[in-house]
Amino acid sequence: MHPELQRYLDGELARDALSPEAAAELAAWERLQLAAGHARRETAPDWLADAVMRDIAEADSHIPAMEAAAAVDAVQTGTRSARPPARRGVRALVEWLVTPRPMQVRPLAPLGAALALMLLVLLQGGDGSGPVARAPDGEPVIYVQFALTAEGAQSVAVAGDFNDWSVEAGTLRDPDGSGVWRGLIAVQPGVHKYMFVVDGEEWVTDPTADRFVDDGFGMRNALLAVSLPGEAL
Amino acid sequence: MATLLETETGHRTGAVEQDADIVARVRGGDRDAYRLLVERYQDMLYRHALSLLGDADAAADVTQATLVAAYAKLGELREAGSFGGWVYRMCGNRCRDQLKSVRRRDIPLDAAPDALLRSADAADGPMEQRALRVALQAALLELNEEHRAAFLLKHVEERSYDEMSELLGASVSALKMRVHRAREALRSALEGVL
Repeated sequence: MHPELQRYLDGELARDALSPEAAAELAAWERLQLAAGHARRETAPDWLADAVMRDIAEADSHIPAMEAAAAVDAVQTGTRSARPPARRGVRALVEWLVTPRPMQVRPLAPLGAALALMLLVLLQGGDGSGPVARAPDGEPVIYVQFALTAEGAQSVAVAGDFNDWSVEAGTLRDPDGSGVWRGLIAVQPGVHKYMFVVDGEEWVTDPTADRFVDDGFGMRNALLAVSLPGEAL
Repeated sequence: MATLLETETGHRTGAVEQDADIVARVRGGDRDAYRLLVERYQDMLYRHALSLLGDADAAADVTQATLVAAYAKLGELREAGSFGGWVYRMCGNRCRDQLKSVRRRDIPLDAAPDALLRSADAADGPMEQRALRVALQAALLELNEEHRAAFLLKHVEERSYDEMSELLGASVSALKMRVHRAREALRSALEGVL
């Protein structure tokens, strides 16, 4: 890109001061500026500020004051709490992991299948500080077991913002051929969106999730919230 | 940034509360004070989202979610006065995450003509202009966060480098470099379209 054109676009050089070489590039940049500026006159919808304040107030009314600000995002976006119990020793953790929980299982028509369960599994950290593992970059991660019953499927994966929506990185397995596909996925603490992917092409919202968020394009992502033991989201 | 605030008629206002002061009030429990920040930045965030998503409804949703999330994470904001730049970048990242999930489902953006037609004045523009907007949206998302924010502030918000410096907390020379690099990257990405 011609340096004179950069200066012109920065408002530092008059148009008629451009050399022929720089002027030759000008038309293309004017088209680009026009395209970039299509939103320039737009303003947020009138309802938006009220909606934000309503969401915040609603979230604040559900949680203790000390955790209010931190938890608003989870409540607003409809997050399921998959938080393990506060650190009370290995026994409490084991009890939490093995205690049965109510679970909704219903048929998934297109697949003739039913989604099963999702368990939160924590690994004991190497430094003994708690039931967490650490990613190569040093960030703490929690291993979440995702499971989907998809009889007849050739492959099942989970894709979400925790693995950059990569189908390859979230492969589940069905070693005994029962139709229940499972896999442990490392997830950093936070609120995450995800979907299941069956046979590499069918994106399926987890109907057993408690919370969902529209993606703005006609589908819904399931939401998952995870946090380190003893820490609020 | 309070100093960047403009009234609807475009005149700068003088007696406005600084972002840092509002953030301090909110952190102190004055939830209603957050509305001042919402009203101050919602248009800028909305335009940012609209530039990247091309869909008015999706842009509004992302703007709403960003502002709610920013409230939730206000405790993580290191410099209370940098709220504007912080939430602006947060909005861009949310747009990118949203589009990543859509792209992974093999729903190309240019396969959503209804969404594009609803946006801004697209219905009045020629097909070439619409195609360029779609290509530009995709190219903007390939920029890194800093370059994208600088480019959009310059060419959508039409901010001066001094205003951008105040908003993003970077030097004018650094911001010029970001904008220049963004232009170079966009020129390269859009070579066959421009």
